[in-house]
Amino acid sequence: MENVNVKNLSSIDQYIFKLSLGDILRSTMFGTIIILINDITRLPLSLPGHSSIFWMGVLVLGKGLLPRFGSGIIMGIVSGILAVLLGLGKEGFFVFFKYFTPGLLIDFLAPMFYNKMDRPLVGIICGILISLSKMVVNVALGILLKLPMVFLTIGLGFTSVSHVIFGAAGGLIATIMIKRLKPRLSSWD
Amino acid sequence: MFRKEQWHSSNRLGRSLTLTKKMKLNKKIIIASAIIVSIIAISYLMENITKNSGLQKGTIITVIQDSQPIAYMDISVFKELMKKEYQQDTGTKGPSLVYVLSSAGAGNYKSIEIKSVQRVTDNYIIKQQDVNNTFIFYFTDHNTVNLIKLGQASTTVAEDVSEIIVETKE
Repeated sequence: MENVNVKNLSSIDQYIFKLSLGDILRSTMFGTIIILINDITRLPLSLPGHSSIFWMGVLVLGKGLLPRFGSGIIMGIVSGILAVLLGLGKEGFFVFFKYFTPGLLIDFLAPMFYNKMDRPLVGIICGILISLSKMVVNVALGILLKLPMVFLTIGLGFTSVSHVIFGAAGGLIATIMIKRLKPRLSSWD
Repeated sequence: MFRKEQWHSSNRLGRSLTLTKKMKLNKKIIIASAIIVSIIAISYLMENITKNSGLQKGTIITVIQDSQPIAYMDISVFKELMKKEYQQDTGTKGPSLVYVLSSAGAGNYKSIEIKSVQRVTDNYIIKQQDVNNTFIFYFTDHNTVNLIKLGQASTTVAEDVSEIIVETKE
């Protein structure tokens, strides 16, 4: 009888993607942090993809602290909706996909690397791949919105290298933070 | 005795499992690195293919200032520049050379050389004192632009423009 109650309780606890309400709220928090950082911090670097250092850093950090499948998707959805509402970017509604895709991708990448996001190499690679996914979505949106091909392709090589560098930096910072934060978050659940 | 053997075998199994997992992780890291390198390579390839084919056909026009390329433009950029230059319809069919050059960031020019895709004739050179709003880029039906000198009898000075070379020094 007691077991049945425990089972029922755990099934109630799981809202979407086997995530508890606490996990969903935390994912929402990370999604909001992504938008806040992107909107507030304006680095005068004039380099393409420099926002990845924070954006991908927070995504990798969030995924490292919330390893269950779905946390990345929620972070992506929340940041995407907020980006549309706050009018970030020049793509209008389509900016949602720019924020959603890295979140979706990290949900599939993390289990592939056994959720070892605290390993520097794994963090760096995940940071780079999700940063590049943002660049690919940018190009795809440009083609969809019929932007001049010159704007889309000239400098694409350098843009990809820049996205790799900043994505790697974001991933590395995230792994350091995961290592420091995870032992202190023993009462997280 | 039995328990000790069992512990040893489970320990061995655990270690081999960890090793396999580590090997798999290393393999996955290598594959991911290869994917990253290939994405960078594809980006450079896409850029070069688009640029080279555009430059050969004249669909991409390079603005060069003192031997340094400062801008790449295609027909859609020229169309946008025309909309900005003539906010009301004046009947002009393209942006002026002066407006295109100022949009590209070129200034203080001493001479302007216009190169065509088909190099049948010599490049057209315009001296500083001759530069005015009578030089207009005219759109063609094959996504290129011709440079036309407006006047009583408008003349095409360069067909399918591929390069605009600006010299700021004598």
